[in-house]
Amino acid sequence: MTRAVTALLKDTTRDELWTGPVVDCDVHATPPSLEALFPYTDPVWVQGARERGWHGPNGQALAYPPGAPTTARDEWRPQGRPPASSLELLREHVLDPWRVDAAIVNTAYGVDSLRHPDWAPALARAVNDWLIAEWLDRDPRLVGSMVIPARDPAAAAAEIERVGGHPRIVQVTMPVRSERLYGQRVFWPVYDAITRHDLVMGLSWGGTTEDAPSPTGYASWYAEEYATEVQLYGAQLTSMVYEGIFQKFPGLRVTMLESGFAWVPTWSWSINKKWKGLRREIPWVDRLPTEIIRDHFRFSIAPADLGPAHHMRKIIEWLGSEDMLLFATDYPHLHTDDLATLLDVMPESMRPKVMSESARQWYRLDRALGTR
Amino acid sequence: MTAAKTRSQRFVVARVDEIPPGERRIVEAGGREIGVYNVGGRFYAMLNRCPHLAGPLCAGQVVNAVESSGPGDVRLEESRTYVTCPWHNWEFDIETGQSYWNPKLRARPLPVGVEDGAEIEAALARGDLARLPGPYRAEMVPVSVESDYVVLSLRPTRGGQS
Repeated sequence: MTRAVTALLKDTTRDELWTGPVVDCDVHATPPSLEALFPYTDPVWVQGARERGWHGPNGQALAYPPGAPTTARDEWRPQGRPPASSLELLREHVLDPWRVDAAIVNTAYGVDSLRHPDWAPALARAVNDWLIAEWLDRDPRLVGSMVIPARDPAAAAAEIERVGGHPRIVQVTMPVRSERLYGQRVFWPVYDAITRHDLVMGLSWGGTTEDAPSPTGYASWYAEEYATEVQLYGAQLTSMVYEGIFQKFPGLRVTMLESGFAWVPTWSWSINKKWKGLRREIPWVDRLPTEIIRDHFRFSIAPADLGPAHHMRKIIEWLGSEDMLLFATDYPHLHTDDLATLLDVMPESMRPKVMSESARQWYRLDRALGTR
Repeated sequence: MTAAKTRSQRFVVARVDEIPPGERRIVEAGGREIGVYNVGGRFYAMLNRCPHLAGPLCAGQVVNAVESSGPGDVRLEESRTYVTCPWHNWEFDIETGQSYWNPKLRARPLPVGVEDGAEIEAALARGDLARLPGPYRAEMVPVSVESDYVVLSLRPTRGGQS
């Protein structure tokens, strides 16, 4: 029997899957509408939206078409409002049934799809203040991942300065699709701000660029685009490792959200090998990329995108570390991985790390939640 | 192995001016291929066998170290020279043979030096120096007292590694 990783289905109990503590490192919070953000928005942009009849950035609908089955599990689609658009829904669907110690709320609202140099930062401020007021302040189990106007590193750094010191903000969400690879030096101000506030950089699915969504052109179908985006995670990881971001900012920690992780071992071997022969171009990379990845990256397990159990076991072994995976439901998105099998193929000592301990340490949750 | 071969671990490789600075010559001595390098007037020798997958190490480029303290800082360190294998471009320190990325992996450097013609003639007479054997006998190095010669030793500078 297959049990789903992301939902507690009718015939499955939480304790059947896991009796220990749970930290869900990826649940989503979607503003129900642009109007819901108006109380947190500078009046000039409230009026600007009304004048123009603008109803919000289109990035999220591009990344997650509202009707696509993967966008939300059926039982997580409420009547008359978007999925994951209220704290009550999150409690009912994830926080209570899973009895989480903590959950990290990601609000990828497609802020990057608004190109306006002043409005995009204002929209990011509104989303972050809404996240704090309507989610973090209302449930002691929640910590937040703030959004930034990722296209504009200076404005992004300014927003991290403004809100990154909030005790319950633990992460900065950046879309995996970007016009520039994140290893590039133009992003140093963002990483400077992230590391000074001891936050995590969270790369999440989606993003709107001037280029094609895949590294080599436009996919014909959503299914194709959905499946190939993993390449972008690989490209961003390679860029950040090779460009020396982790030598420049030794404290920088990155979580790959919704990236899967089955590709990580083989991708790591490949960039190890290229480094051995081509490292003279990038002399700041002074150790094996696999070591850098183990120290600076974590991967959420939703989706897991793994094959049969005997192959899953190999992939877990190939990761070469018990510390790299973080449990997530990726609420409300639909994934169909089998958590019971995934836990079963792991060494016993790895399971509590995946389910809560690694996230607790990575996100400094004791400090963040100690302020509740 | 003849007694003479086992005794003669040193070979005259070339007249000094035949391997000018920046040049390299691959020779065969004692049944092995050896690259002899002139780097800025100093001679180095390295077994022509990469310790990774046995590639022809000495056919690769000779480069200096590139130093960096972090992204944006790139400096050529001319005091350190690497031989790079043409198969995978791994770098091996020309003096120690050590691989850049895997210090446990070593190519095999060999001692090489410069001796004047008189010393060479005396050593040849004593039989503790050999001319290059092998298929290039016709090109065997003629020795004259007026010149200096590059002399290669097959006794490894470091023990136990082949």
